[in-house]
Amino acid sequence: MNSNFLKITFRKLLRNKIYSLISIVGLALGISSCLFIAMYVIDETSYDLHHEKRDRIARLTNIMSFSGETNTALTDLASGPAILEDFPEVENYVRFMSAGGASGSELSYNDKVINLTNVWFTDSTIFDVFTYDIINGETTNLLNAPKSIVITKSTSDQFFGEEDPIGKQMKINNSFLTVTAVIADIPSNSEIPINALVSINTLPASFHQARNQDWFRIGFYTFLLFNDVPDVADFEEKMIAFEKKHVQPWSEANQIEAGLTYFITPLKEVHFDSGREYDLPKGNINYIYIFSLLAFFILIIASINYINLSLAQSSKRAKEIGVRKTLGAERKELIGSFIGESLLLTIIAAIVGLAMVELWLGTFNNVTGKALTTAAIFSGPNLMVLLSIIVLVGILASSYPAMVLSSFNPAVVLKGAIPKSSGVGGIRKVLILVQFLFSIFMITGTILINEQMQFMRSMNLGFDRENMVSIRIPSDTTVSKQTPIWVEELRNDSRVESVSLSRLPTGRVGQLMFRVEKDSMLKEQTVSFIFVDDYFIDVLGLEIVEGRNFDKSRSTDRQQAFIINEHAAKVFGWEDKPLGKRVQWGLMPNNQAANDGQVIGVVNDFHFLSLHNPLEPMILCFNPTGSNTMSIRFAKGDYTALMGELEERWNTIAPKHPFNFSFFDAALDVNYTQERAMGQIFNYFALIAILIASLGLFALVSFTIQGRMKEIGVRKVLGASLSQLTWVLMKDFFLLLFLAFIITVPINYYLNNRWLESFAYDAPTNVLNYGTALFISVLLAIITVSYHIFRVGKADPVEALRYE
Amino acid sequence: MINIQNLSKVYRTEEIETTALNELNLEVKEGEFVSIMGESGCGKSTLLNVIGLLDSPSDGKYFFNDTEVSSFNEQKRANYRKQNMGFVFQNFNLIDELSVFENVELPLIYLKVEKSERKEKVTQILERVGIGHRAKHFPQQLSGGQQQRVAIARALVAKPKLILADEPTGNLDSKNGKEVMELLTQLNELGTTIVMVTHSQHDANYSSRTIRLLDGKVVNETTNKTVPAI
Repeated sequence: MNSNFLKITFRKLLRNKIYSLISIVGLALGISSCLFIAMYVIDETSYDLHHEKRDRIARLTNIMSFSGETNTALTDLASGPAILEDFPEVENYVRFMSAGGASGSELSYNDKVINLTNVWFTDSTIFDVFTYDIINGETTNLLNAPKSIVITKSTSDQFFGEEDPIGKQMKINNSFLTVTAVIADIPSNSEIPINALVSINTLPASFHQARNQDWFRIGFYTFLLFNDVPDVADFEEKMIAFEKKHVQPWSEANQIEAGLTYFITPLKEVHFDSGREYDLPKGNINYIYIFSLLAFFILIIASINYINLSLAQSSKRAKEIGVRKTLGAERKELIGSFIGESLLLTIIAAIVGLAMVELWLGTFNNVTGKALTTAAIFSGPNLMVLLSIIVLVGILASSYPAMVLSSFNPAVVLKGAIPKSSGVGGIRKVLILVQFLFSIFMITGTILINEQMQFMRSMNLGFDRENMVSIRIPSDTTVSKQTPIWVEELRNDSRVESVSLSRLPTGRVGQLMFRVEKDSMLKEQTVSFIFVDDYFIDVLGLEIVEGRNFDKSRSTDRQQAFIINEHAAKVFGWEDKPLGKRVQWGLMPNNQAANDGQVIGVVNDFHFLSLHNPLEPMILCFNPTGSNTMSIRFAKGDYTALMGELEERWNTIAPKHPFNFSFFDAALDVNYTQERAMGQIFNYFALIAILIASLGLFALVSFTIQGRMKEIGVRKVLGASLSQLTWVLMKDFFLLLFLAFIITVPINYYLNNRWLESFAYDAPTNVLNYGTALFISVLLAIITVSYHIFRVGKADPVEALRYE
Repeated sequence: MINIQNLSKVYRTEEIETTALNELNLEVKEGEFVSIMGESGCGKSTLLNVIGLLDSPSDGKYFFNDTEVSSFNEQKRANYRKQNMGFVFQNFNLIDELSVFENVELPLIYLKVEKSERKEKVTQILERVGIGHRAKHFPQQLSGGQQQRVAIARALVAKPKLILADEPTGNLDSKNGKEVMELLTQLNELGTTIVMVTHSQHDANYSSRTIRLLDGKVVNETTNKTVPAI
């Protein structure tokens, strides 16, 4: 490539500003989309790579068979130490138990109280298994002593600011902890997010004792460190014997029929090891595939745009090529120059694309819940992606136009004849078809995803999800004494419809082993349950179909009354007469139980699990005082002022505790975060794909019209109307559009159905959605070309004829 | 220099076969200035393209400086072309995105001439055709006559043995046309061989010999003695 070509490239770019802009913006959009997706995919696939022993670490999980199977990410307390003892290849283990779960727990230092999530009770071996960067304090025996706590830099800043935290006393659940070290913040792509680590020995001896004797009391994420990279199948095989040795004798001694099947998952794969109960948020490998595919689509669309624009300009370039060939340029020189030119353009587009990434990174992080930084683009793998994109697009998108253009016969093109290119026309049609195909695919996909999201949002859940807020009550006697008074106050407030001291079901509930009556016998069964007070049904807006609500004044209700949902009545075979059927929990041998009573009421079915799961039987147990949550239903209308008042009141009741509340509908939506993020990403990328394709169509039609100006002139002179002219010019494009639509329909249909399989409730297939997609595509195409049609309409036919 | 024997060029499309050159014979000696005339479609331009190695004949032999070149492949032809021939076209065929200087420089780039040498040669030739002061202008900023002088400068800059001109005055008014023809005549006097296609008898009179074509064959040859007055 000689410097001349660069000059021509730049000058051409400047001269054809609109088309340069279309080429560059199209490519830049494609490149930025790819970068976003690359960053996302690389981040998702690089979880926990910062641990030095990552290859030797695996997570222990199990399936509990205990009248029904539960595939759980949590294990019992005893497995870790027992495995270390039994298996020489296991070098160490570490267990994590969440303090406070998703709602977090209160940590305090002096007067400062902060509700913190990701606080873990853990073994001191954590620092032998995982790699954390200790930046202050002791370097060994950090969590050996009971009541020791290790905090992250952020947590330290929150509580201590400039102060040195080492040796200071923090408080959790009324017990004091000594800060032994500060570790650097955990990277966001880490399976176990950490704000603070508390020595597991802090938990009382009774806690350990109870759990060390029960293989089915789960609550711990257990990780094992092996001597070498573990053989998963081999180890799982050995764990069968382990289970026979340890768990079976225990089950027999306790007269229950129960067993465990252990699994291990290498640390690298844990992030995508989804589908287990009680797990931390997991990635979805399918979304990785889908997003990669989207990136690929967009890049193809942008490249095709570039190819089409190059080919469309070929008549303009023909003379230049003719001259160069006449002056002795060889074909391979010309091809090299075209590729160089396109590489240059791609580099410009990449720079613009990087600016776009910088501009939209915040939005992208919001949607995906990631914390990606611009600096990440220039990290090794992302930079490789960027360079590969430049080289791939630069060379792939230019090689075909380069072959075509460099093949022009100078004797022909210098006479002013536009080279006949019937072959080019055919290939160009295929390229446009592919572009339409991807665009329509994405338009349809967007509509279908939004349909499902809308369907779930508008689905009758069996209760009213709006206008509800839950406030967390800390386990502080001064606060819990005040709470009932506050509840009464609120019940007398006209702006409040109902108040309950119960936790609302936001997608996950506990399960217990019950005994339920079946054919006059008692049968053990694991059933979902909620502890509720007598206002729960009222606050949630459920309907009592049969029987009565719990009654505080009846002393027996607490242990002898149960309310079930309609589905439970059906599953237990009680449809005829559910009231009075016997239920037990807190099971003891010989059909004895701590709680033994009857069904006193039936409520309508309500979706207490996320809509990924089908409806299940539910038993409501009466526990009017034990809840740490207050749930309030507001009367309809604006309740922002009321929220302010609630917070003020809170500060008088519990000044030491943060006002920790959540809106019920928002809490429910958390169940669909992934889907919503995917839907939004799909929306954005569909928009980008459509934008690029429209830009391409705009330019292409412009060139088509230029090439057919004489024809248009002649037709106009002969009296063609604008609509007739429009049809003549656009016919080919619209035929391709329809063809693309027909091809995409079954693909969309199939993929959408596959996606819907992950939901227990999916929107019915609506043919209209496909119609809408077609309508939008046609409309977009018409809008895109209307400017040109307008110009054709205004053009003077004589002018057009002179043009030739 | 040019020796063409029984040369034919046939264009075939799916339905028709057009004979552009029909067993044509022609010889041009070094230092000659030959005009080719004839009706539209007689094969003038095809002949010029074949001579210029822009097109290959269907049949017959073409010796350029005693080398048979009609069977050369594209790369060889491109090589031969840039070393031996310069082209002047009716519509100038300057590259719009390049300045006058850069247009003229182009053949030297393909000949891989050093940059400093290129600069010297281009400046020299632009002065010679009287357009040195326009070196930084772009083609569209020039008049037709000036553009054609740039094109001639480009054809000359590599000092080719042969200049092929396809109706060089076709797009020019008579004053500019005259200047261009005088320039070509001067070149010829300095030893460059010129083959020119023209419709104009007036222009043809500048050449030393005129060949008339009809249906792809030479039908008449005249030797011109005088240079026409205006």
